[in-house]
Amino acid sequence: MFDYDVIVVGCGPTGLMATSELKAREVNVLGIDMKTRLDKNFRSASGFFFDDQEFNGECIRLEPKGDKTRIHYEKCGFSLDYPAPMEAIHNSYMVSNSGKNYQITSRNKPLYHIFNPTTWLSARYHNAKELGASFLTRTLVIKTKEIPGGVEVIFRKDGRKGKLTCKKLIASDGLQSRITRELGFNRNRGVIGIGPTIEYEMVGVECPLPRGDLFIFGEKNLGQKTGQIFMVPSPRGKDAYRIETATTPPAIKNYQVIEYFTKESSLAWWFKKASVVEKSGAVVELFTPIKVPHRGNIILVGDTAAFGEVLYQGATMCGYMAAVAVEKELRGHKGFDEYTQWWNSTFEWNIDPKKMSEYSKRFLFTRYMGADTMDYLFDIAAKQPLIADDARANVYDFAKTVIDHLLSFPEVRPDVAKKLRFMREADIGLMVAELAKEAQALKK
Amino acid sequence: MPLITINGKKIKASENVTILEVARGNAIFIPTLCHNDGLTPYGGCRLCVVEVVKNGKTTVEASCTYPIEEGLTIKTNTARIRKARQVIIGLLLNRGPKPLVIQDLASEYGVTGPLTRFSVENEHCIRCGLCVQACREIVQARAICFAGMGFERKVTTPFNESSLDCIGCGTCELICPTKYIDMKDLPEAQEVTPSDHQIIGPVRNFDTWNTEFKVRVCNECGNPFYSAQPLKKFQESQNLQSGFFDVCPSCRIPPHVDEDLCLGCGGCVVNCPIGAILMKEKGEEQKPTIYRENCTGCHYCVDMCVVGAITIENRE
Repeated sequence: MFDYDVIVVGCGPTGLMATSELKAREVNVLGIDMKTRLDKNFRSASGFFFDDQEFNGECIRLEPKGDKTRIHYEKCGFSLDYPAPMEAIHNSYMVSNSGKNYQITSRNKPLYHIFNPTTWLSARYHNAKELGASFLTRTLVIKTKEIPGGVEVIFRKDGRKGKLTCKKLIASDGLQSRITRELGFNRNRGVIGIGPTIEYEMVGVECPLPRGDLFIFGEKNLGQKTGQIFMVPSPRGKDAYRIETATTPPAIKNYQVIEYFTKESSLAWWFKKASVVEKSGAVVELFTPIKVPHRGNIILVGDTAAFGEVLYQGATMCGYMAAVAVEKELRGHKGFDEYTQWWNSTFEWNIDPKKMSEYSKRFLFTRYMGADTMDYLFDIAAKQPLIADDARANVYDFAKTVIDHLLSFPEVRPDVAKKLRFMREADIGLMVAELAKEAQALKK
Repeated sequence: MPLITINGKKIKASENVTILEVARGNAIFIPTLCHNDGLTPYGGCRLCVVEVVKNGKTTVEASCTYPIEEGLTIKTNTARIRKARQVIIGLLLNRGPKPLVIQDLASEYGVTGPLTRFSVENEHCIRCGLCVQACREIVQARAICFAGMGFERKVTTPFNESSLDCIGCGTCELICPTKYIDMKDLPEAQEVTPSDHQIIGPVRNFDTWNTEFKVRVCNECGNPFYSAQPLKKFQESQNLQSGFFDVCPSCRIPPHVDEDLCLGCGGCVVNCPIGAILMKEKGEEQKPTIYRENCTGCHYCVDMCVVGAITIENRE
C-alpha cells in the first residue's frame, strides 16, 4: 500500500497551491520542503501581477475588497484572496551609467500591481493548514524512483535517510529541481546560463524619481562593467524598495555589486537614510522548457519544467492545474496529457520559442549597446517618454517595446539605429556571439 | 506499451528498450559479462542468449541487443539456453580458467572444465570490450582500443605504446569483469616490473597499457589519491581555487557556514550536487547544516553563496 495518494515535493507558491487544492478535493496529500517554515519567503522574489492584461495565457482580474484583494484567474477558472491591498505601479525606468534615465509610463491602466511574497505564501500555507493538509519540513528529497503503480520518494531529514511512497508525485521544487535532474529531463534541455542573485529590501530610500521600478546599469553604478540592478517598489511603504542584482558566478560578486551600489556608487545618496529590513538570495538557472513535463506517475510543474521563472501568476496557475490533472489521473483519466496540452498552449515561451531571446534581451540589451550609446539614446528619448498604455511592456516584450520606441525617433544616428535593429531581430545565440567578440576586442 | 511474455509472465514493457532491460526490471536474472547500463549494448559475450518466439518461430538471440516488440514470447532458462550458455562458458574456460567470475559461472551451470577440442590459453582478458567502451563513452578519452582480428584480437593502446590520451582515471580497471587490467598505486616504493622497467613512486602504473602517471599525494594523510595530470586539467577547467587538490576527498573538511552572514536563502541546499546540506531552524530564520558524512568536499556551495557565508576552513 502507498503512504499517500499524492506527494508534493517543494512547497513554494506552486506546491502550496497544489497541496491546498488537492486537500480541498479530499485527496490524501503530503507536502515536502527543504525549508524550515513555509509561511515565509526566503528566496529573492518580487511579487507582481498584471491586472486585466493578457500574460502567459491568462488574464487576471484584481478586485479590491476593503483590506483584501480578490484575484480572479479568468481562464483557469478559479479565484483567490490576498489578505492586503495591492499597490498600482505606473512607471518603469532605465538608469544609465551617467545617471540619465529613460521612462516608461502608463496613464490609463497601471503597468502592474505589487504584493509581498511572504504575505502571499503565508495566506496559501494557512489556507492549506485549515483544510487539514500535512507538511514535512526540513526535508530534502534526493531521489524519486518509479515502483509498480506509484513512486518511491527517498529523502534526507536531520541527517538521516528515509522513504515514502505515493501513487502520484508532483515535483514543484523549482528552477534547479533535483527531481528533474535525477530523472534525466535536463539532458535534452538547452542551458542558457546560471545567475546567482541577491536582494535587499530597504525602507527610507530617497529615490528622486516618481514611484516605479528601475533597471540600473553601468560601471559607475555597479562597480563593474557587466550586470545590473533591479529596484522594484516594495509594499512595505512608499519609500520601500527591493534592490536586486544578478551576476555570473562566483556568486559573491552579487554581494560586492549591491554593497557598492548602496554605499559607494553615484546613486548611493538615495540610501543615506535607508535601512535594510530583509536580505535574501537565490540561484537562477535558465534552461529551455520541458515540452512533455510528465513521466510515469510523476508530473513536473511550475519553474521545475519552465524556462526561467513562471512568476507568482504562473506558479499559482500551474499548482491549480496540476492538482486538477492529478485528481483526474487518480480517477483513471488522462489528466497528465491534458496538463501537457495546457502547458504548451499557455506559456509564451512554449508557444513561441523566440520569447526566450526576448526575455534575455532585457539583460543583454544595454551591455550590447554600450554606456555612451545608451546615454545618447536616453537624451533623445527624454523629449517624449514611452507611453505603455497601448504597448506591451511585460517581461517578455519589454526589450522589443523599448527598441521600437527608440527607433521611432528620426534623429537617431544610422549606426546606432542599425545596432538597435540588430538587437530587435537577433536571437540569443547571435547576441552571445557578438558580446563574446566585443569582450575579446576589449582584451586585446 | 508493448505487451510481452517472459517465462510465462505477462509484462507491459516500455518503448525502445531491450529484452535484457525489461527482464532485469522485472527481477528476471539473465547472466552477462559484457553489458553495463551506462554503455551502448555491444553483444560481445553472448552469455545473455534467450529463446525468442516471434510469429511462431523460435530463435536464440542475445537479449542485450534485441529490441522489444509487441507480442514477443521470451524464455530465459530453457534446456536449450542452458546448453548454449554451457558451451560459451566452456569456451571462456579455454580462453582462461583463472578469472573468478568465469569460475562462478562454470559452477552455476555445471561446467566442469574447458572444451577438450581446443587448447587452454590462460588469458585473463575475455575481450568483452567494456574497458574500450567505457574509455570512449564515459571518460571520452579513447586511450585504448581493439587491435588485430579473429584469434589475434586484443585490447591495447595504439601501437602498444603509452597512450597520450590516457588520463589515468582507472575506469577501465574498475569496469573489467575479470580483473585483467593491472593498475597499481605505488606510494614511495621502487619496483622493477617483469619487463625490467623501474618505477619510482608515487605513481599510478598501468602495466597492461604500458602507461604510468605521477600521483598526487594527500598533504594530510600521505596517501596517493589520484593522477596529477587529470587533476591539474580539472582544476583549470573548473576554475577551482589553488590548493583544492592538496588533500584527498576523505581528508577534505566540509566548508564552514558563517551563520551571522548567511541569509538562509537555501541556494546552497538546492545547489549541493548530492544533497549533503539541510536546513535547520534558528529562531525565526533558517540556516544550513553541512553533513560531513555526505559532503564530498566539492565546494560548489562556496561558489554559489551570494554573500560568501560559506568558506573553506584553514587546516591548523
